[in-house]
Amino acid sequence: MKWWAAAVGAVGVAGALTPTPPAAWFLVVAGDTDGYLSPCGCTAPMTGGIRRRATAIRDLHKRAQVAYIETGGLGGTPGRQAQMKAETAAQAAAGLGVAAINLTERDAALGMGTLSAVADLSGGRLLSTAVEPNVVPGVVRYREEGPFLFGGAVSEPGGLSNKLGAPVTPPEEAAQTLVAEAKRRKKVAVLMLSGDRTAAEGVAKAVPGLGVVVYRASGDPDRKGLKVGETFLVTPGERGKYMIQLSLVNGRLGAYSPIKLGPEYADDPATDRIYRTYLRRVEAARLLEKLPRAPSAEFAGAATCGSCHAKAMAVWKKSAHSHALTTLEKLGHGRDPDCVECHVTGLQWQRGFQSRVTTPQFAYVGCESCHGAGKAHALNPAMSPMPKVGSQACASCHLPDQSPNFRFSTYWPRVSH
Amino acid sequence: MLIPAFLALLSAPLLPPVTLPPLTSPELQSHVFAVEQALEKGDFVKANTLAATLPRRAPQILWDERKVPAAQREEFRSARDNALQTWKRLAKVGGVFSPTGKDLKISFEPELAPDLDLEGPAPVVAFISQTAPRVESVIGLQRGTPLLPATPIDVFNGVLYSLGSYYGLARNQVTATAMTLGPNGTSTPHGISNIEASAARQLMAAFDNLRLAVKNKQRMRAGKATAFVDPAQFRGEVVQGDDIEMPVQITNTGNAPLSFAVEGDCGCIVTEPPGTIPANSSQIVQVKLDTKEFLKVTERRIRVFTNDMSQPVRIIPVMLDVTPRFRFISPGGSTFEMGEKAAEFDVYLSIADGVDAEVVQAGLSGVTGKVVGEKWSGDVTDPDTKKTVPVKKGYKFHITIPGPLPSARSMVGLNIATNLAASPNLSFPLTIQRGIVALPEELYVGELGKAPKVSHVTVVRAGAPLKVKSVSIDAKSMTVKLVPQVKSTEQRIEVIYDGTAPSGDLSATITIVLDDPRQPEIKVPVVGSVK
Repeated sequence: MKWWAAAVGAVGVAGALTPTPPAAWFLVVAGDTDGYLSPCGCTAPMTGGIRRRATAIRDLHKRAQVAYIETGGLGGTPGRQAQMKAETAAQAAAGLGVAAINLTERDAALGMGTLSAVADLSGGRLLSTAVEPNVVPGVVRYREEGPFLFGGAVSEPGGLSNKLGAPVTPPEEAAQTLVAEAKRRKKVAVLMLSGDRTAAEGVAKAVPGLGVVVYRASGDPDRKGLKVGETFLVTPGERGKYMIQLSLVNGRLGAYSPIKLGPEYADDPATDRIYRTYLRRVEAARLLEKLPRAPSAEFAGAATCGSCHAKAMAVWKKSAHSHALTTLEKLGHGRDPDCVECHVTGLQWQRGFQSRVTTPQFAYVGCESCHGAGKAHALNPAMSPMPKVGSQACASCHLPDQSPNFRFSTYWPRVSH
Repeated sequence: MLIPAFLALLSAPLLPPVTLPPLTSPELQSHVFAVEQALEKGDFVKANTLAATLPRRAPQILWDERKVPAAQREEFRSARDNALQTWKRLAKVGGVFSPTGKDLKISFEPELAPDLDLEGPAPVVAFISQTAPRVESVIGLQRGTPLLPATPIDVFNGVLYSLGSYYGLARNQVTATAMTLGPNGTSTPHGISNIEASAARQLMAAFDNLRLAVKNKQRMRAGKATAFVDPAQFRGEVVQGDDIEMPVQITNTGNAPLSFAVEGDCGCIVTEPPGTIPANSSQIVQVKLDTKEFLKVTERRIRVFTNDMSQPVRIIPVMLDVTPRFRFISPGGSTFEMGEKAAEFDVYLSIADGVDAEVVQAGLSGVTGKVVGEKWSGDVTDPDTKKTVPVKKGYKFHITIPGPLPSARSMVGLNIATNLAASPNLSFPLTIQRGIVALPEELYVGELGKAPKVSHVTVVRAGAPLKVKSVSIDAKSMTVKLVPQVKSTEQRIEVIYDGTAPSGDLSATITIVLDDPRQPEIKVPVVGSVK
């Protein structure tokens, strides 16, 4: 016997290898998308996005029965684009057979009309155990899928109550209701809580009998599962970059696994179709043109800068900054305000980029993206010196989500001038 | 003749021990240590024997697929080849599959014993020895909880790990890298991280040096690096936007060079480049965290990779409570309903303690209006929490929007320019609603098929009753009807798709006829697609 054989379990070969119909369940917790429907795709390896999530969930469906839930917070910062994002996320989730989506204060901030539309698009999967039925048309109190009963609550009921104009019960009360209902239906109670880990721990301690409490957290999810008593505390982390998978085998929950939605996951074609519709809607609504812009000094454009700073111009022309908008357009995100801001000069300023047609001189990341508006300097360099800028200037765009491998020490030499 | 030569050899200065990169496996370090010990003693025969099994850039690999079901062998081989290509592409190391391969053997078993770090059977195990085959790797054909058959992705991950083990890398704790085991039962493709690729390249160079020393019969000092890392965690309260400095002290308490690499779990953490610390020395590695994107409780991780064989990867948790640098508070909420006259309301800006900011300009976008700002401190009620928020330092903005606006919902931005370079622009989104509006403004019905589907539009007028006289839609496959009215200020409209539209984009318009002469009708665009 080889010495490694001691580590190999004694399982019959032929019988064990025959695929059997899956009897166990995967509980898949996704969400906290917060409007991050897709990486812009301009750098690698960006993480997350509803299209990769769909591929991962479809893969899991091939391996066992899946109950997939979304923690809510679909759209991000309230506004017209957030409404479109929430609708798109709900439609994509429904297409994947989502079991439940929690109604959070961030979703409610989109307004009752959008909320009702999201409930419709989710196929009746939007829920809140903390809100009386019929407060929001189409929102239910529980949802059942396989061995699980899902409920939802918020850690600070005031915010949701204010936005809905209706009473919202505290999370402990919602959890008790859920546990009682789950006991009656002989299901595992899963509470989606819009609140942080401390709040989740509080609910899990106060209400025994919960199988899982899902909570919100920034950063990546924990590599190992947390438990309070017999209750799992799980979070998918921020902006939908991970999903969490738990297994339910013979009535026992376990095998906590975070799934990172990296570029190894291809885009799911069906969800890609939905996402492309979203991009078309964003373009048709001309959201880029409608962005709020602050008063600003006048920009000069990189060509003007280059007339004196020839050496810097030569470096810039060879850099990705000089064709940053083109890069984005090739990826289909050229009209998405979320992405465009970091691919042009001065989008947030009244005298900066407006469109490729009206302001072609700003249709790239130019000198003034970092150094600020420079028309006054161009007219009178001595009287209006341009400020020296440091690594902070890079950090406004090279953020963790958009530029995960950014290191000033390695990136700066590429554009040093 | 031989004795003086031998004595000269013994008296020659010893070469320092080789420097192994961070994430070198303990087994490989032991192997290298054994070679170094033999060289130190001048036992070149033993050193030569041991050095013969040091990892090479292109090992001979025996692929034993006898226990793999015949139907799966081809796709598993394809996964295997992909894994090998990935190592070649990223780390310039590879291998050759051969029926007589004696450096690495990869085989399969139905199920492996439970892994202590995972709940369930190990997906792959690698056994390392100093005799051929130096690494024997076994991939489980069933894994996870519940027990599921291995997929080609699992095999790809297993081969990545097996090759990494051969090259001399330790198991990694970072999710989804080549040297990560798990996640349990999930067929997630892994990738070779920068640190892993770099370590593999550096190891090959280190082995080249070691083999050269053996060939030249150069004596070498044997040594092991040991790391002490301080602190164990960072905790604190910070103001959003601050750069937080978190110095990490790494001390080498061993007698060989300690190599390290420090990285964060996001681009918001900037660290110094990897380096080497001599024996009995310390180095402080500056780690900076940019908190601009954070709010409230934030958790991040700093990872310290070393060639300490007892603990090659250490995680330093960073737990911060981030106070917003600026916070807008609108006691009247974020949606304002206008009558015929001007709308007037106040919005407050609270500036965190320690932030030396001045507002230099304030204005509105999306609508013509006036903003008058003044420095202000006092108590404001947060509309969300109903709690009183003490504004120690801040501004009060009185906003006037002259009427009448067209009947609609308008997105308005309160834009503030500050004197802070890090936050030059602040924007607070507001919604102004006047007259009767339909929500959502555009009805997205999603993806439709052959099945009927129901959607809704809600018509509202704040503060006054409304009446819808009729509603219609210009699409053959859709009908609309009024839902019995519950509130006098609100009317829901049911939009029913009958499943008969042809494939392609769907576009229609709902026309809502009202009994208000100032606003006789509202049009709502409908968009979607049909599969």
